[in-house]
Parts: sequence; structure tokens; C-alpha cells
Amino acid sequence: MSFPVYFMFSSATNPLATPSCADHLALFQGGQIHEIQPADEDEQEAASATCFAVTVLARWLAVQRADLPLIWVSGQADLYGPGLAMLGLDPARLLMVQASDDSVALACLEAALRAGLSGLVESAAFGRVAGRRLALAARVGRAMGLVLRRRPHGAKKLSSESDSFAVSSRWRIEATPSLMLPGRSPGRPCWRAEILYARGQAGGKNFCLEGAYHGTDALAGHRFAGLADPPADQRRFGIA
Amino acid sequence: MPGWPIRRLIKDGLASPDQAFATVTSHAGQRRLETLSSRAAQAGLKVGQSLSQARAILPGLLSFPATPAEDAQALTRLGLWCQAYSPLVAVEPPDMILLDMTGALHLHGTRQALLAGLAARLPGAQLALAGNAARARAFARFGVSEPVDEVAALAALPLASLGLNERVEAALRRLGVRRVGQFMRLDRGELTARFGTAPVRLLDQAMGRLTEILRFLSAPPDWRESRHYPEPLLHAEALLHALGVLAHILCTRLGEAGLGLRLLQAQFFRADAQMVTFDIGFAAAMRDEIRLARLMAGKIETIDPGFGIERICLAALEVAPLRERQSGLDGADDSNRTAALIDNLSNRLGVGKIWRIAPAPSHVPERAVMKQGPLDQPVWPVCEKPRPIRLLSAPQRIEVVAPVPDHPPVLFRWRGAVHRVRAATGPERIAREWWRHEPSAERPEAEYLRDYYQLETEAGQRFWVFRTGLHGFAAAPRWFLHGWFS
Repeated sequence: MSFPVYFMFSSATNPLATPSCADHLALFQGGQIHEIQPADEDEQEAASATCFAVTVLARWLAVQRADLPLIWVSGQADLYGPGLAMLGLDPARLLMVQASDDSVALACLEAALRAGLSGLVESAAFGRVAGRRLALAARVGRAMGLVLRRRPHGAKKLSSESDSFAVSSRWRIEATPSLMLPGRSPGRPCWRAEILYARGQAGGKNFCLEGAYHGTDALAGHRFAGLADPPADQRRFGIA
Repeated sequence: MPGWPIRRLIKDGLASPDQAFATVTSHAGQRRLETLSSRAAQAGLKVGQSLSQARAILPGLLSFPATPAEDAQALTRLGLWCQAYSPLVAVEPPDMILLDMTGALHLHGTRQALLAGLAARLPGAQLALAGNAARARAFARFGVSEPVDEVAALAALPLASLGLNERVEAALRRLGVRRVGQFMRLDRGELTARFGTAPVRLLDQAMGRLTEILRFLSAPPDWRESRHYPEPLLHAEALLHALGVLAHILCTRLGEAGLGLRLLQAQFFRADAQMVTFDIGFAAAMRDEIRLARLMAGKIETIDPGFGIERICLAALEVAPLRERQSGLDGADDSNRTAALIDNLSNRLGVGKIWRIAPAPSHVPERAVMKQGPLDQPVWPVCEKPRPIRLLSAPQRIEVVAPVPDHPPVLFRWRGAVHRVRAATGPERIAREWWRHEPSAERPEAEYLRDYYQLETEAGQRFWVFRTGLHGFAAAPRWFLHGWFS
């Protein structure tokens, strides 16, 4: 299954001098782990980060060799299947795992990565040791692991700052207003993605990225064509 | 096991064997003795005596309330342990355990060796070995261990050994019938006419003319491997090695039959007459002994070996057909790998913690998904309507400013924070499933209908909210937050 994701790209400095969005998303490779943080600890911001992670996983499913399922480890069972389908990830391919706490959740993802299954863990704590273990397991199983930082249910803050450099990249995702459609209805969702850290590269890249809903790809292009031109510092890239 | 409640009290350390104590039950406000310790019996106390009388005879008498249910449970536990001797064990509270040794006797050497072994492990038990359950019961009750001529021995026993009910037994005693032998000589027709069929049936069962139905503890599975260890095993390494050997034998047998394991129970029979177990479940049928050994290694720490484990039994409680498959050239099979991971995780996390999301036939959002087994492949239809990525299990109230009658909100307040709406779509109307539940003012899911809106705030966050109720009706419309898109 493949579906196009359109990206709006803008850079505060010089848009032409920085690599394209497709290059940025190419950071997500097998044999590595990546961390995705919501910009804020609100639940609605966590949803933005979740959407980004789902998009990344959907791309990964399209490129990975075998028809292995993905594993999604979480303490809370509030991920909604039809919403996944809308973002282009077949919910049937997800193996949901409910873990009692963060350490169990991280251990579950580690076992999955070691067995060669890619997946995601929702975790508040993510220490150095856990990061090292996950990275090693991902390398052994040649699978991709995502760590979605999420505030535990009822808690006020993320339990610890992330300081592990075992991750290959660290992203911060924030919702940003979409291009409005006629009649004050919202366009496709937009997120501001910030690369806090990427191994071997300079960090601090900042760009805007727009998701596409499954089944509306062809339509999306038309909608864009009918809109006024985006501001000069925004460019659009499509990847298949 | 004569005096089973007394033995339990001594074993639990509540009383010592050289004390005079008894268990008591209350009958119509009066407390009466039910079982007596040997010291109490020596002092001349009788079962059925009232406690106050007994205290007058023996002022130092300790009394404990009788706990028949717990006694029966303890007896069942002992019965489970007795499965080490025979797979068919029946427990009959208050104090009887029956072992069907048919076909299992030769495993324990001679009859004397079996009785001696049991007597050594269960001191104080009255053991008897006989041709059928009724005779064994009678002999055990009256202390005949292994008679040469069973019928003659039975004839010499008192009438009480047959287990007749009290009324019949008292009537027969008035007629001068004291022994089973006298009872045998009575006319069957007259007995039936006078007392009903039960006494004759009991006699026929004791004589072997009629089979008796016994309630055995959990019927033993077809696929089980067990082994006895003369030197009790204590260490995890030794246990794992023994389990590995048994797993090898079991998997080989299953392989010959073309079957795979779905649920396995490992039973450990301890030297102190206890049985401990663990279960391992499998997502897909398997008989890979290496994987099995790895799973058992994770579970072995839950087993307390006590003073040592004398016998281990691996029992396949559920099996399913499993054919041999050609594996890929790299040796790794994708579906096999997934099943192995699921087994690993589900045995670590417990039952029901791994699932796949499947669509459910309902248009109410929170009922539109259900859980399925981790190896199922649900088919998802293409969804045309916007649906959020995270759904709240219980919708939360929000305060809303919205133009009437059915416009989307302009701003709303949730958890004290005000969100201004920049763009919105809707409404999508979802009606109540009237065949499922009654309408209720407390439960938003039971309202007649909901109008869903997708709202994008000025920060770009997207909420899924709905309104219940309509303008112009008695109840004012209320707004709820139900999920987030991004």
C-alpha cells in the first residue's frame, strides 16, 4: 500500500538551501529508534504527535519487506481504529499491546524489535538505559522503533526529560493551522515538525508538514490548485 | 483421613497435638462438638456433646469454629497432590480421598509398597486397597487395610460401613441387623419395599454387582508426560532440565500425531503434599521445544519448590492440529516469528492484553471498534466520514458559545482553557441505537441523537465535539468533547 503525503516546507532562514521534506523523512530507517515528542503536554498536542507517528509507520509498512504486523504498545487503549484508517494505516496491521507501566511497555517493544517487528511505544519515561536497550534491539532485529512521549493518564508532567542519544533522531511535533477551505472549513491537518536532534546532522531544523487523508489524495491536489498561492516562503513537495 | 479438621488445625500451627481441642458448630443456638483431638477423646468427650458440658468435664478444652468449606478445599488440594499416584482421584468431603489405581498399580511396585509409600507420606491416614470404591471406603473407615478375602472382611464389618442413611440404619439395628453379613442375607424384595432402592443399591455397589459413578478431579488430559524424581528437585536449573526432557518427549509425541499445543500446564508435586502449577498459552498451535523451554524458563520463578519436587507433569490441556511446514531458506518464517512474539508477550503480560482492532457493526463511534485475537486478520472498510485518532472512552462536557440552531461553536471551554474555533465542519448526525439502550439524561451515548463537528482551533488543534439535544426543546442542548484528530 502506498499513499502520497504532501508536505509544506518552510524554513526561517533560507528555504532553498535546506534539504527537502522527503530527505527529512528519510531519517526514519530500519535498525534505529526515533523519538517523537509533542510540543506541549496537553492531550490535544499528543494527538498531533500521534498522527505524525502513524504517518511515519504507514510509510514504513509500505517499504518494509515482509508482511509483518506493527506493534503498538501503550498504557491507555484510546487509539481509535477508524482514525488510523483515515491516515492511511490499515488498523488490521497493528498489534495492540496494553502494558501496565512504562518499564513493561519499553520491554515489550524491545522484545518486538528483537524479533524483527517494527513498532511504537507510548511512554512517559525514557531514560538512557532504556534508549540503549531499544537501539540495540532495533539493530539486532533490523526493525524501526518509535518512542512517542506521552504524559501518563492523570499525571501533570512527563516524568523525565529525554536525554538519551541512543535515538537516531528526535522530533517535536506541534499542530499548526491548516490552509482553510472555502466556507471556513478546515483543510488537511498541518503540523510543525522540528528536528531536535538527528545523528550526524545539524539539529534545529524546523518545517511545516501537511498530512493527507486516505481516499482523498486525488481530491487534495485539486483543492490545492483552487487555492490562492501559498506564501512565498512555502513550497510543496510530494512523495509517492 | 480421619479427623481431617483436627489435622489441619495442627498443621496450621493453631493447636498442638498434645492439647485437648475440638471444632464446634452451632445447632439452634447451642454449640456442639464436631471433631475431637485425640487428647479430648481420651478425656471422655463425645462428638455431638454441647460445648458447655464438655467444658464442665474438661475445663481446659480449646474450641475452634468448624470450617467445612475450607476443610473441603484443603482436602481437594491434597487430592490434587494424590494425582501423582493415579490420574483419577475423587475427593469426598469431609475426610475421604479415593484413588482409582486401575492400571496404575504396577508403576508403584507391589500393593504393599504402594500402601507403605502412601502411609509414609500421609502419617495418620487410614489406607485401604480394595476391588471397588464402596469396599475401599468401608475398609478405610474401619481400619482394614488389605484383606485376603474382601467379601468375608466386608461381611464382618458393622452396618455403618456401607454408608446407609441414619434412619435406615437405626431401623435395621432395631431389627437386630448389626453386621453387613446379616444385611446381605436379608430378602432384597422386602428391603426395597420397606426402605426404597438406596440400601440395596449400596450393597450391590459394595459387592461389585453395580458400578458406581465417582466424581474425579479434573479429568486428566490425553497428552501428558510425567516423571518421578527419587531425589526431590530444588533448584531452578534442575527443574528446567527436567521440564526440557519432558517437553522433548511431549513435543515428539505431538509431532507424530500431527498436533500442536494451545494450552500447556506444568504441574509440580511437592514433597510436602502440595501441588503447584503454571500455565502457558499459545497464540497459534506450536510444538517447538526450544521456544517452549524459553517460555518455561520465564515462568519457573513463580514456582515455590518448598522442600523439593518429587514429580513433574506436563499436561497439554488444549491441542490443535498442526501440520509440518516448509520453512524459508533463511530459516525464519514471518507468521511463526509473530506467533512466537505474541506468546512471549502474552505470557508475560497476562490474558487479553494483546489484540487487534476490528470494526464492529455499529455507527455509534465508541461501539464501532472491538478487540479480536492477535492472530486474526480483520478487514477494514474504507471510511468516508472523518474520524479522530484518539477517542475518549467517556465524552467530556464542554462549555460552548455557538449560534443557534445548529451552527458549529465559535469558542469552547474545556478544562478551564478557552479555545477559539478557526474553522469547522459538520454536523454529522449520529442517532441513538434505540434497540440497545433506553434514553438517559446522564449518559450522553444514550441521547436520541448527536451532531458531530470537527473543530480546528486557532492553534491548529482539531477537536471532535458533539451536541446532544436540539434548540427549542425542553432540555437545553449540551456539548461534549469526544476525541482529537490532530
